[in-house]
Amino acid sequence: MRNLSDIEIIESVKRGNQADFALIIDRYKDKGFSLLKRMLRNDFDAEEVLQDSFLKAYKSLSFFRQDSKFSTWFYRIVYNSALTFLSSKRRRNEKDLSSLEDHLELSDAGVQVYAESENVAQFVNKMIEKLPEKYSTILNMFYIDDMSLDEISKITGLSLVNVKVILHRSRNALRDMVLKHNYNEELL
Amino acid sequence: MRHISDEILNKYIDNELEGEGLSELNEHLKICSSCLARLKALRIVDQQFRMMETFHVSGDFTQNLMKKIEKISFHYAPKKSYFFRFVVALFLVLTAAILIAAILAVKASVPAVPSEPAWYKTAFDAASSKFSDILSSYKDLFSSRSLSIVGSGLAFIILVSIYIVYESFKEAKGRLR
Repeated sequence: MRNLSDIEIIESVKRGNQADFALIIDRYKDKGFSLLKRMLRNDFDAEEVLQDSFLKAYKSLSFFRQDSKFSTWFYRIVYNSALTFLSSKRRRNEKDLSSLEDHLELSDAGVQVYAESENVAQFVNKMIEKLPEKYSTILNMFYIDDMSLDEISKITGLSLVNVKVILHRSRNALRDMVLKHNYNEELL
Repeated sequence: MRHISDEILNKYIDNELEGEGLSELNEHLKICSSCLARLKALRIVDQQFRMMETFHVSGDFTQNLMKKIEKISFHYAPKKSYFFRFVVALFLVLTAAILIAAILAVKASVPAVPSEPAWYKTAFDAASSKFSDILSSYKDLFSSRSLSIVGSGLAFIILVSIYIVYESFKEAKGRLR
């Protein structure tokens, strides 16, 4: 069987083939879960919000305009659901997540993570979890979901410049850590 | 010596640097070990980010979610094409009318044979004579000049309305796509 496109699956669901929505779920569940886990920092919450996002997407399929990609439309639902969840839990409010920290301070966390890591891959993966939610979310969208900066900007509501600034700051902060702990010499 | 800025190094990583900027960077990297180390470290980070861990949901996630979707009352029903049905119905009515008119015309052209009529023939004759009466009364009604003009106007309005309905249907279909 050929690989159906997102649009073909959605058209089929709209024609009444409800079971075909499982194809969309299988296609996006892990990527959506990774994004949510990096935003919410909790497996249980991430799965709950992901489920809620898929239900919202199913109910709103008739509003999906095909002038944008389905993935962009779906990730916007996921991102907004996570923001609503965060503000309802009073952990963070929307304003906090959409503002930019001027300084990304990671040196204390870096020392601890360095002590726990066996190699640079482990170190970087653990350090991603130490980044502010907004930073790790944008890294996730850019590197795992292969989104362009423009798409990330549309989903998060941040300006294109701010998205780029966050991406560069994340890289630079981790680069400083790599240099500090001489990981570059180990690999070169 | 002036070092390369973080922004330029990031642009290099993203392949956004070209032409003069790229050659300047390459020349500088030949003589500056500090910038070279920064670039190498940045490349390591970029490579590690590309191999960033993807997390997985529980195995029965899709199954559980589909059960919830099946339970909710909201279903996408197959789209019914009312326009198509309307056209088919109109076609059938017109065909029936033409058929009746043809039967009447054939009947009028065949000379009557004096014989004992069957019950259905009598019934058909009665129905066709009634239909002829109605037809002639309509013919009388539209025979006057003013009514002919009104009739033409009405026909024009109906045609325009059908065209507008058809166009709006086409537009709505396009928007859905």
